[in-house]
Amino acid sequence: MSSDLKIQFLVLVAIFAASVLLIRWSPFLSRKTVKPGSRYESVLPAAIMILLVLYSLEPTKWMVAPYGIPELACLAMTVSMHLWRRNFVLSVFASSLLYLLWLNREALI
Amino acid sequence: MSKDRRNRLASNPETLGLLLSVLAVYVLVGMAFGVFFVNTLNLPAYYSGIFGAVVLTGAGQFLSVQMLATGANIVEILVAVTFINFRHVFYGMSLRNDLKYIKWRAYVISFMTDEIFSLFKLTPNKAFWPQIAFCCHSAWVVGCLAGAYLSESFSMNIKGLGFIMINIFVVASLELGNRKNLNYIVSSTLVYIALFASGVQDAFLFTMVGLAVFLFAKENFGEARS
Repeated sequence: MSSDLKIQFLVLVAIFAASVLLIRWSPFLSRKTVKPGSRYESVLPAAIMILLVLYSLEPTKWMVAPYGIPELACLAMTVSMHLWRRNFVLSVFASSLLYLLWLNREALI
Repeated sequence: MSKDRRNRLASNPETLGLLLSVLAVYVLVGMAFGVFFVNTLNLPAYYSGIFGAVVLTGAGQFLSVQMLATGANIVEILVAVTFINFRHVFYGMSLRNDLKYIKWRAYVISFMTDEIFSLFKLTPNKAFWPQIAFCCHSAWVVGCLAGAYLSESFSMNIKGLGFIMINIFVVASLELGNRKNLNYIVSSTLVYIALFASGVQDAFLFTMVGLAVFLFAKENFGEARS
């Protein structure tokens, strides 16, 4: 039984790896060159980033208390810190720390 | 400052700070995965490390272990993880020129995650990119192994670690957003929110595909740009 699972798992890993590699390599297989400064370079990364923010917020329960307020408050803090100081580390750490403390407050007391 | 020192990762506190925060999260979330792996599948602990080393996808790994345990077949798992990972296509699309002459090119392309991509976009000096990718990859594997081996004596109770990653994406959005791409950013956001609010699964994927098709049309059939 266990060796069945082992084989099944290794097959899964191999197929999974092939699929991930295919996905990650597919943009590089085309021979057509991308002009430097094209919209792929100027628009895509920014759009990806904002969509990753939204995507990562998907599990937030907006309809149940506390209605995503800690998340929004900490994100507002990140944005304002960053616009104020433009220091990556400060922007990321200050509000992350606050958020982690808030979320794990019961474990800390 | 001499040229040599500038080219060392340790001499760039901002890049290093961001990298260290990603590494910490990768180790901790990797540990959570390791614990989940040995508790869900009756397999040796080192298999968790193999998995992490070979594919390096966080959410996809959790999902496939879950599905394997509940008896889903390989094709179902493959479809599910392909959907989750498809967004990586767009990272490659936007980095095609940047990754043309980089060291360890094949490695960097093969193991680029959301977080590694954002670190790249926040690190103008491309000489660091291979190191960044390798450090993140190693941290993930170390986490997967540590969690799997320590699962008996260890419980993962820290909630909300993913928030650090969200903050990195926020900072990257602020850095990459400008007047020229603002209308694209706003319209993608609105499309995403509309899709998500109407209950569409994979709103991210559909928005990205829509945007990519639109950009492709603009680049190839649009009027010449000034």
